[in-house]
Amino acid sequence: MAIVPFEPRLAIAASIVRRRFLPVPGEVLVHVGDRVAPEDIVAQAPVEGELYTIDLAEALGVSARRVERYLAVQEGQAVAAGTVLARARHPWPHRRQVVAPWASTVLALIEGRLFLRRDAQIRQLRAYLPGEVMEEYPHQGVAIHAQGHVVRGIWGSGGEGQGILVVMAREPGDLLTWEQISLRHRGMIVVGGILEDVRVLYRAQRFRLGGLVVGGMAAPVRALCQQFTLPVVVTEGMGRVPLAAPVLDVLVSAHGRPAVIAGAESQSGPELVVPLPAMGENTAKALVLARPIAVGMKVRLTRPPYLGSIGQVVALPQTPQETTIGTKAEGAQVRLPDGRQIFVPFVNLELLG
Amino acid sequence: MSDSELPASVLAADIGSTLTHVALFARVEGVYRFVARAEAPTTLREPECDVTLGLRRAIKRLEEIAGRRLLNDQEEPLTPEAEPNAGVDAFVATSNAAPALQCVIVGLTDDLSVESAKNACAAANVWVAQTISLGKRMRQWDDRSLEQMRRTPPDIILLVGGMDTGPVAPLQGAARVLTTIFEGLAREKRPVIVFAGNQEARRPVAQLMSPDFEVRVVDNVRPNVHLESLGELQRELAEIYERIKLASLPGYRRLRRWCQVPILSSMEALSIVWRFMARRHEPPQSILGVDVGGATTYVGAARGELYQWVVGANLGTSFGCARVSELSPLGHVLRWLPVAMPADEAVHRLENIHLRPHSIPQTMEDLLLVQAIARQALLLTMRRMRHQFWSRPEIKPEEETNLPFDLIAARGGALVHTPQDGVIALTLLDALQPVGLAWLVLDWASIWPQLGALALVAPLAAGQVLERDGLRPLGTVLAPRGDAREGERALRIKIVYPDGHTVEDDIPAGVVQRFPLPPDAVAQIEVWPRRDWDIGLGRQGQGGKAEVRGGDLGIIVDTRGRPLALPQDAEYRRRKLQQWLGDLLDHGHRPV
Repeated sequence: MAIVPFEPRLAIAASIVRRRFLPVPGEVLVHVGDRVAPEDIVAQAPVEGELYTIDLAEALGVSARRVERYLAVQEGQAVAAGTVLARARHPWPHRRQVVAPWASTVLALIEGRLFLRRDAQIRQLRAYLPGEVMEEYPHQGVAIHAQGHVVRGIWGSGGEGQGILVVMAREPGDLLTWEQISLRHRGMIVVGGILEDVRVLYRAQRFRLGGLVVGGMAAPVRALCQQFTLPVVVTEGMGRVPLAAPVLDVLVSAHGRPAVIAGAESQSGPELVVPLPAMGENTAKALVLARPIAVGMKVRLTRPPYLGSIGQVVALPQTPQETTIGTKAEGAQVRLPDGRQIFVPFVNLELLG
Repeated sequence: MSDSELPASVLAADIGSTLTHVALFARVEGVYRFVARAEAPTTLREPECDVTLGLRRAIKRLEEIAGRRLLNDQEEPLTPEAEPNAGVDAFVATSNAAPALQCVIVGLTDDLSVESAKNACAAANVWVAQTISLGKRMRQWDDRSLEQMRRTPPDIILLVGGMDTGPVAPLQGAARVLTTIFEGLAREKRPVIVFAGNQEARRPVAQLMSPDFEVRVVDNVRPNVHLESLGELQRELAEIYERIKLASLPGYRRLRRWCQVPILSSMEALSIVWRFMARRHEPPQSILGVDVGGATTYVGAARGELYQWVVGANLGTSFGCARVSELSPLGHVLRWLPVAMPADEAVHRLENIHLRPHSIPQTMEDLLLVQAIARQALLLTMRRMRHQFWSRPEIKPEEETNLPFDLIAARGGALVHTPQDGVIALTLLDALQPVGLAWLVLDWASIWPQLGALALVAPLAAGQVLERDGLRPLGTVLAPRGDAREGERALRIKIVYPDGHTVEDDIPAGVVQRFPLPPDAVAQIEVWPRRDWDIGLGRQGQGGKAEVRGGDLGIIVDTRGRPLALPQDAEYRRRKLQQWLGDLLDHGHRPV
């Protein structure tokens, strides 16, 4: 039986490596062996400014063919904000002129429309993870090594954030309510069971939370999340799916500790990391790597009617088995918390820890 | 090619967006046969991100099933066959795992040329991300779309517009705009420009853009108002897909090194197989082939030498279910469910399928929801097929029916992993709405694309395997075209079985009824439809005789009318769906 390796969705006190890359070649500011904090800038690069156009024909009130004669700049010319780009000398009081809204470079005049590009801006890359620079990729980025708990999300939105971890959920299925979010949570990463109320999100954004972590989320909230910059991580799936109990247990044990969170726009994918003090190579577990499933492992079930259930692998049948609806698949016998033992296809399992 | 030069055994792989299928074919007593198959999740994304990893797993599984060593010590396909039960003489592969080509269509007006360009894109795995019409003095070029194009360049920009004798300047203007947008960007990041516009503008546009872009020039898609010329552009798009997208699959180089012949796109391989099916009979048959994949739905129709096809890019049952949901109101998906499901629950289930595309249904409800998505993906793709090839101006789009086909060949994970034949059959009947008589066959082993690739190495072998092992018949469908009130007599059927015994029955309108006929049996049928119904054996209202082949479901008579109109009342509709499903399921189910 060829068993597919599984990437653990929860790793406790593990050794973590996150590679951080610039979008374009630039300058790496740290070196191998340097200690870094999440907000430290590890690399930076000039990123080209936005392209924009100005319809000079319309602005000057002339035909596209005549625009060129009123042009006050040339293609390739760098212009400061406020520089006059074109001026039409109509009889007073109809004189019109167009100025550059930003420091830019003039690219081209095509059919009465002026194409410009804003000047380059410096893009800074933060460390994200508190730890040690393990590798340096010249002009590209670095690899940061740290130790801690990792909770991988199945979905995320927003960017990266950091803050003190605050666990609101007492039980895995507790709803996160808007009343629970207040100004004192500014800059903190809040953990809830299930998120169904869009008001939670509005308050979280308004009070500038560091991030949100929930087990399940309702569809309308998901749609709203994508409009906000707030980092949000969903660990189990969409709908009324409780936060996995092993995940909650780990996060409760880390309540009050600093943590980092990454949403969809992060290079690492959606995740929550609770960094721990360096434990030395001998005590920290191996790097979080995919590994085959084995008897005794804790697993998350990912398809109805068991979506969100946590179980333990009790047997690995050597041949494909039949599911309750008759499909044959390779999988594992899993014991649920209520004592039932069921067959679950490997493709419907995720490894926890 | 002499017998000694022909491969004695072939390992063939099809790497899909969700699953990787491998199959072993070998010569047994002088005839090529299908030996065994296996599958594993495709490893396309992080953390593994190398398709050969999933492929190796599938091959290892195949080794266990076939009891034959297929990988060498470096875990590469063991070729050639060294000794009995070790290695194969050839390894071939197909894939549709690569995402669709991202395309921006730039046209002069928002009508003819742009519409023709969209038609051409529908025949390739191309996703039209944006359509920009220059209009008068480029007013539609808003800054955001320009910036977006620059930040995330599409794979190709399709520049179309102008009749062959029309003005050149607007196309030159568009070419200058595109050159300006991508100025300063590394050449390898720039999109390929495919020019399919006014022939007079070919040279000036190419001269302007060639220094900065890879420019491909093809026939004008609209040389004049009355003519649409898509062939050359379609070939170009297929070639670019294979060169840019397929070749960018993680692990592609290693995979290519293992293969004896170029890696085909699964769609091209399927077209080889479906065209072969159409030609293998005398006189040639008409075939409708459908492939409902995780990310892409592909429909092809072969009639003799004519082959028409449409690709539903990003329409599928796992990765593609998000796009299906976007294009269809939720009610259109849920109308196919024979059970009640609250809208928010359905939305959550669909989102979770998209988040975990490799997972499979474990409840009947979930299975039926996936079938509903499969129906909708097929309906959307078939609508495109009708619009592009079969539509007649005198018929309203909503009243159009599909053309009759002798054979309907269906495949795709959502279908072949469904253990109940009745569920598969109803999905195909609802989505394809066949008319007349059609034999329904399934790619039960998921080997048709591999056979298309095998045909490049050993056409005889591909033909023999397909004939003997490649088709699992579900049965013959008899579906008259017409409209009648439920319960009214639709037709009378007389079936003469091979052993001579006869069955006669009156079948009312609005039902799906089954008559047993084993897969290898042939029966004679005689049908008398009501006056205003057409069974495809002559004129409307005319009866006729035909020879029909059997299948696991036998003969299926579908008198629900065409186009199929589902009851408006939700509760009643669900009851009807349950009844139709029950009529098809009453033979029990087959373990997969």
